[in-house]
Amino acid sequence: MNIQRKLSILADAAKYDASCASSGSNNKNSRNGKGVGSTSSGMGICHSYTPDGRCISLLKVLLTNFCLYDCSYCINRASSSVERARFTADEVVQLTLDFYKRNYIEGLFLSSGIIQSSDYTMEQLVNVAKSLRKDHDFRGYIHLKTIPDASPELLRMAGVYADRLSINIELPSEHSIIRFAPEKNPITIHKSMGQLKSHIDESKEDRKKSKKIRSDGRNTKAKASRFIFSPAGQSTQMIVGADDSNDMTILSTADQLYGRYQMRRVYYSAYSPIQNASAALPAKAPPLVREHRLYQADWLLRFYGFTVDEITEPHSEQNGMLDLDVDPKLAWAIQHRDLFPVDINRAPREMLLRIPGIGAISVQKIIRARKFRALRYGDLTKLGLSLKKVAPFVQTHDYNSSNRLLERADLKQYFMSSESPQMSLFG
Amino acid sequence: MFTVSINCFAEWREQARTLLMRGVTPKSISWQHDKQSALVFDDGIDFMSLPVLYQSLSIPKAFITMAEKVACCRDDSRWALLYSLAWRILFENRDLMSIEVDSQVVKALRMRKAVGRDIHKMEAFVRFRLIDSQCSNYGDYFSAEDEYYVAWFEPDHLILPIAVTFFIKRFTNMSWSILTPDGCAHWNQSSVMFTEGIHKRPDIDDSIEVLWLTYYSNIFNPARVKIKAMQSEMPKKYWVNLPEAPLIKTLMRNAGHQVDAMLEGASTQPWHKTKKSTFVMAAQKKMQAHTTKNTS
Repeated sequence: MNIQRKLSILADAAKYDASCASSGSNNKNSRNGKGVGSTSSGMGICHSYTPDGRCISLLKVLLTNFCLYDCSYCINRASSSVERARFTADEVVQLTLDFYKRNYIEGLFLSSGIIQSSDYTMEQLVNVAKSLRKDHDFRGYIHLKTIPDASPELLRMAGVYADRLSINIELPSEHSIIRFAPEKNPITIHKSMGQLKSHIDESKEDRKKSKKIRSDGRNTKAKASRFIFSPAGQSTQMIVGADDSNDMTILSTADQLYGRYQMRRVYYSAYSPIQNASAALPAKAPPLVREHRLYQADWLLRFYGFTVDEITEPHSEQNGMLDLDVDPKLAWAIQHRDLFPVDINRAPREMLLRIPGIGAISVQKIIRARKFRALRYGDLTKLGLSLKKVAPFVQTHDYNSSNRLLERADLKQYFMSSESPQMSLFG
Repeated sequence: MFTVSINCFAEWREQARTLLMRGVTPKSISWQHDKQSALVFDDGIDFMSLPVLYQSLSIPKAFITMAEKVACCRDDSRWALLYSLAWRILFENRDLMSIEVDSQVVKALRMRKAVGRDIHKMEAFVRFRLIDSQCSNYGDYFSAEDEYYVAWFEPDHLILPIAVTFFIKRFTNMSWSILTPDGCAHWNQSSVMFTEGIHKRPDIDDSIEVLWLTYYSNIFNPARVKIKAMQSEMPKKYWVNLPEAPLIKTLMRNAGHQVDAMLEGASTQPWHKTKKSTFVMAAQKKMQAHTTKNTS
């Protein structure tokens, strides 16, 4: 089989992993090196976009799509009749370098079906990363999918070469994992996530210590530890809509993963129909709006000070599902009208963050600007805010007519008309 | 009215300092963008002969960083805007740039944002092509033994000198040229050289490109078409220089059929080969036994 055919099979097999992030690593570049590559602690770069609206940042492929596991939701499960292929380590290394040198990608996201044994498979993945780093001095981004059953030593090695590691939680409840992924073990998944976290924490601790030694001026001969274990941390993915878990369960699971393992990201992947799908799963279009609402809720958890209860509470009568018509922050505000309008010039940061239509960056700008002068209603447009969205919820010295809007029984309808352009994305 | 001609940020900075030290108000300067820098003055007043009113002026570093980006904006009003902001920071309010609702601040920040986005898109959408034989256009600047890559890009703003730093850090050990209508940058693994812009895209083939197109087609999920989301991040104006862009139409056209086929032929019988494989069956049994033991 030629390389082009392999690439088409093994890229196709990899596309159900939502992550393509190349952000939040450490700063590296090639100036004192022999190879190519750089990464930054900030934003990654999206080198292209496919018509599904997703970015291409990394070369996302499987090493092989042969697999012993038989997870119902997966196109590569053992009982699927999909065409199989396997890359050699050198083929993946060469492809990564060829793509990288042409500026198509930020690096590699490598995953694999489980062949022979978990350790054998993990070792193959680690070898690709090792060759890129050691043989080619590659300084671009490497994301390795980690196999939870692999030995602790292999997990440690993976973090030495990769910028990011991920273990997929796959489904929101243990019950679902056992039902749909019979060869996977929820306990091992959590154990391995815990192991990655402690490696990440330890390496942070070590660097802190060596920094301290240096700044004390003592023991200057001690070599500063530059090593960072998986500098972009770990992430995970949950499939949405394959089992019958509701949004409340999904968000609670995500919240625990963030809390327990300091996940950088939990990705939500709407279950998408595949060829040769298992009969145990729904054959329908992926629930993209639901996925979008979950991401919005996830943002509220991480950057806006909301709790899972607050986000899901307005929906407790809807079987714990988020409202698909309006975003979760707006849904919360409509239920808590008594807290509005909020005075833009006086409210604390926490309250500004709760105003629908105002994002975290705009909140920063408001706080900076209001130190120097009182903000007028018209100033909000200059900050790039939509007056239609914020009108019912804000108050300034020259604007306070929002109460009438706030009292409207059809407040949700007022917003649904303004949300329509966004909804059409999913049309 | 003084007419000040400049052609880059460094010159603006130099002239602006001279003018600010002499307390020349923003209203009495007309800034011109020109290849030749010059200070022209009306009414026979020698500009340099004006008395220096402020010996030492210090401007926040954050402003200079921002101004450097604003200076790349293809907008003739930028030099006057920057001078006016500098004047106001020095003589009105040192924290002016924090007031992001001030009209001039808003305008400058918009320009900086446009330039920042343009740089970001250039970092993303430049496509290098490997040239087989060494291109002689740039003489012996490049070593004939090294692989040589060439890219063509059309930025919205005058960002090449700033944007090139990213490529140098990332592709330090590669020889390359980035050609644009405003100027060309060349890197021979040790130093950068700028030459005049060229006006036509060079015609280059690269055999790796077919693999890139294969990847692009196969990583696309036909069940999640969101063309607007795609276009907001990769607007059509960039498509002309992206080798993968011609595939978009075909991928969109076929997406519907592919999904229908998946949904209709939804569930199939388990693959006979798997069932027959004693190796697979034994391995699965072993793993499942392990799972049940651990979770019960």
